[in-house]
Amino acid sequence: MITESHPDQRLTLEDIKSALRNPEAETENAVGNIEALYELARDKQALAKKIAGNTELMRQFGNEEEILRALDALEHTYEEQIQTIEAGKLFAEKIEKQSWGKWALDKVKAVVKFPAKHPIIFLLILIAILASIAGYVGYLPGLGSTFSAWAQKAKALFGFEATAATETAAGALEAAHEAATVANIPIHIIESDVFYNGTKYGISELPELLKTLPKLAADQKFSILRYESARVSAENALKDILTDSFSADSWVMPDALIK
Amino acid sequence: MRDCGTVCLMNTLYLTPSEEKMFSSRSADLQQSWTVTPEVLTYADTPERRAFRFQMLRVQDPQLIQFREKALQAMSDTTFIELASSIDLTRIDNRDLTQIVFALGPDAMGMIITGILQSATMKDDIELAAAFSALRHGMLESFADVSLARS
Repeated sequence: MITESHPDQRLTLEDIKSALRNPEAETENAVGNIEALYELARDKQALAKKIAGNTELMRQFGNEEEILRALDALEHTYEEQIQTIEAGKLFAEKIEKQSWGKWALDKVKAVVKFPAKHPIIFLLILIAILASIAGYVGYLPGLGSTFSAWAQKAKALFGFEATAATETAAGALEAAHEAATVANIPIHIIESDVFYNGTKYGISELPELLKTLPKLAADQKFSILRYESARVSAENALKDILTDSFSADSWVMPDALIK
Repeated sequence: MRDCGTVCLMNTLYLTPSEEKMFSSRSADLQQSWTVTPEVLTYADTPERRAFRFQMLRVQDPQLIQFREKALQAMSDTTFIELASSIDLTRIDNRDLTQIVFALGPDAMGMIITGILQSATMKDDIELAAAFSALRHGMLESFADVSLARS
């Protein structure tokens, strides 16, 4: 971990990632890490040279230009992230110390008993809890019909592009995942890539992969009907995707699904 | 936000123009005794900013942590709904709920306020909208204060 007191400490990509995303870091530490990294990144030229002098790091970054580009990108995010953390602390202080805070939270808590009168509140809280693992909501476990309308809105709110292609891609991947899950076939979906038996398949290759599943699935005596339904749904969705532009940018799967 | 106590806040709704229009369309009985204060603060949220807030979210309640672990394994509607129905959010720790509200952000608060105002039929509904508008206002103030302090 980078600290201000050891500016010469070796900086690795992992340091950068962990400073920004360390799951164990408390808020105070995260602020310290980000600020320390920000201080280091201020003299980007010097830092780039330092990194360039390290063979292992050069292998990771590629060349000095890439290092500078990476540092530029990081620098743009530091200030904003520090502001977000500080705003969060300030908000928590307001809630805790000012009488309206407890009043407002009590009102919220009074309406989140399942089945909720306002399902969106209930759903958003659940989504936030789930998203705290992934850092991003790119996938929601099966949300029943009770929540389906709100789930769509929540998906739109939390980063899904409201384009047909992305929605279709979401449907395709979910259906493919459902098909594989029902069949107990070890397909894992990471961003827009599908992994099966250690081989990576792009979204456009999914139809071919799906064709190989029925036999495997039959061998494993799963519900043919349910599998077929999911498979057809995936294939139909894929037909739409393949005739449209598909942006994989908004697809991030929870770590728990990446095995 | 001026801390004028719960009595003051129980009479104040911080609403955007579209929300205010929605509130105005409710019955006179529902509107009675409420003061609408225009929400003038804004925050341009982005997927990246939301993602970062989610990364910083650390729920502590064992019940929530357990729910999260089980939910990520639940691959069917039935299982997920069973899990959702088993969780008791009415007892959620205030610190966890504060973090969750902050992670969701002002846009989510707006979506909730709109939903409540659209279907409001009881005084309790307006009070709930007021609570969310207070949370959003507090959040927007925090973003604004920090932004000013660092600029």
